[in-house]
Amino acid sequence: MAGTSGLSSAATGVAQLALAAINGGTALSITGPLKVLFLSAIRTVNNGTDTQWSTSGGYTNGTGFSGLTFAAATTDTTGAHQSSNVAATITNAPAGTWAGCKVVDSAGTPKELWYAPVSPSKTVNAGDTVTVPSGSFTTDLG
Amino acid sequence: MRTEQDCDGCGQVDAHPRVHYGAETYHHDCIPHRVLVDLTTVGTFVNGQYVETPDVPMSEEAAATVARLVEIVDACKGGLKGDDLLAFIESPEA
Repeated sequence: MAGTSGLSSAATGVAQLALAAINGGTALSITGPLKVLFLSAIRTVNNGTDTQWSTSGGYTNGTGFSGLTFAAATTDTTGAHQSSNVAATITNAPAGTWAGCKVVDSAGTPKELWYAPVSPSKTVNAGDTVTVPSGSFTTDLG
Repeated sequence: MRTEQDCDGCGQVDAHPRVHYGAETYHHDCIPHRVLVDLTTVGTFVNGQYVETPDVPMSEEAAATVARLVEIVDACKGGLKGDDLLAFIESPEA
């Protein structure tokens, strides 16, 4: 669902790189660990225009939760699917709005992988614990 | 100003600290068992089998804080006291 969630095609996104790799171009390189960045505002079209939480309390801008992992991919008649298998938690979160998350890699210039909203967005008080449950990042191709 | 919120466990509305578990919201002492398990378990593949092991997945920031606390506790156990302990705690690296 490009625009509301999906594979990022922002300037540093991987959608265009994945297409090129699949179609015989340069292999796609992803540098681990994968990071989950928490957003106070999320794009409404697939252009990478998000606002990430500022560094405060237990949150570090640009780092977020580091170490997102995924279970093995599965396939069915609708395509291929892969879901996260670890809870991504920020303890002592800063006050603000939780509108969504995006997943980036750890390259020097991080690549944007996936983005997804929290709907409806949630109000977070300072010191709250914020978690993306294990299995909640569901990714699909096909 | 803290915002009052519902607790999906006890139903109380107040501004006490919460756990935001996806779309769900709980007081820390109202967390259901299934959520507690998710917050304290990491799944890995071992020899092709999916195994869940007790662990607390943390951000690098939180992990660094825990590591620092362990260093301070170890320093106390090692006999560091008074001003020396204060200097150790306030030092940028340890």
